[in-house]
Amino acid sequence: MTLTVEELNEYVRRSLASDPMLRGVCLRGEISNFKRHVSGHWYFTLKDANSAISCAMFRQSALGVSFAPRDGRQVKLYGSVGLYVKTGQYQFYAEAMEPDGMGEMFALFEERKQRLAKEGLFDPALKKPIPLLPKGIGIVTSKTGAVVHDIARVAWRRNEGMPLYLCPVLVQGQGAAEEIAEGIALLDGLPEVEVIIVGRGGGSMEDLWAFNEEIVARAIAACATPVISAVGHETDFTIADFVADLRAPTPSAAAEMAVQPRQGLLQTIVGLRDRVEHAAEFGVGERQYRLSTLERRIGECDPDKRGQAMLSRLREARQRIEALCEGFLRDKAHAVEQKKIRLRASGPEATLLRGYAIVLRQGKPVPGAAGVCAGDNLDVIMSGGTLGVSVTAVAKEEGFWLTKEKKSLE
Amino acid sequence: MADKGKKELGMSFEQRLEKLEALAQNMEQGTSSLADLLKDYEEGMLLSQSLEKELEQARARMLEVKSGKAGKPSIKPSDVVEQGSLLDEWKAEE
Repeated sequence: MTLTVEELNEYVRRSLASDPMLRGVCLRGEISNFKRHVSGHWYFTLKDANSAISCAMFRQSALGVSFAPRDGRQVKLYGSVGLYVKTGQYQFYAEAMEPDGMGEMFALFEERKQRLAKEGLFDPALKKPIPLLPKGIGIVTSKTGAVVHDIARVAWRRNEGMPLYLCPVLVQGQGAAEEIAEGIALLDGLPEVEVIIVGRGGGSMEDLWAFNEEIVARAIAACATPVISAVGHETDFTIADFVADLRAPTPSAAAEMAVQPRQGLLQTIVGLRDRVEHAAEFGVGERQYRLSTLERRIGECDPDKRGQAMLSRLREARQRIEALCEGFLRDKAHAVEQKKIRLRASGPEATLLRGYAIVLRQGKPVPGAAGVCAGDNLDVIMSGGTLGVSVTAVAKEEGFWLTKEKKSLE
Repeated sequence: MADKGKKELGMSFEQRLEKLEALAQNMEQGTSSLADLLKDYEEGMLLSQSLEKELEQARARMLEVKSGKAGKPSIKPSDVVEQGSLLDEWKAEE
């Protein structure tokens, strides 16, 4: 059988391509002779102690590699074996590249951590608070495994009404980081989800590697909903933990952070309600007391009562005045009586007693005989009574007293 | 009041809880007027009622979210965790 070179190469290419063993291969080794073509494709050799193989990684795949490959790096390649017909060279077509080995991974981890920290992705000021009572909790983790059960058990024990939204993703291996990032963005878009738990159970650094990928870090940083990371065990730290708003040591702990005990919240609310009630009762009671005190004080200032007091003072004053007046009047009356006695002693009565009389005409005293005519009716007041007298004759004699005196003198 | 009620509905659980705390503190200081006291009391009762109601409202369920066509998420009850069995599980624990 004679074949052309091309036919042979094509035949071998096809037989290689049809061998299931040569597809989905994971190949580990050290990069050497690394070349970045202008087209964006990568060409390099992967070697170990005794062997080497040519490798190609096309632009589309190369874009998904989140670190910079360079000569000497230990890596794992995922891809298939093929043949380049033009040169007859057999090579490995890499679709994904990962750092390989603890040392490699650790170096990468540190490098990435520093770069993202510098960029400000871990800034504590960006950390969002976890709501006390989220409407719902989003979970980005594997559909299988204990994590989702642990979270559900703890969440429902603390608040049996808490709705959980699971976004099932691959948590390790090829494509895991992309799925995790997508899951975060998906749950972030649901208004019912108010906190997101991203995590997986424990495993090797390799198993947890997806959570160190930049695409996951960026998805968490871009997520508007608060994110709690729960990757592996307490001692495991991933880049996702640094970017997350809160890091939980385990998935169960994450559920505890996301769900506050319903009973505790209820107590807080009832306690506050009681305080409000008491404060209102006290405030009203205190005012009532103040009001009644004031009422009492005002009552004491009642104008009626005050009037009574005034009235009694007035009465008292009047009594004193009356008493004073009485005394005064008594004195005066006494004095008048004395004067009367004295007057009486020196008044006409005494004179009348001595024999004199008062002559009145029509009630008026008659000062002398000069105005009296015969026929006049006169009243003569004497001691002991009044005489009605008719004048029979008037003898105008000037010297009655004189003659009398003369006579008495004679 | 109706307006205020609506505004309070727009507030988050934390904000309302904080507001209730502030009301209680303010009322306990005893410096507010009687009118304010009664207003605060009324508001406090409404707030605590809405908070309690919100606490009661949620219903336990596990839903599965996947990205569907045109980037719209599809949400369906999850077969991962059978809610009943899990609820029974933790109830049995207690």
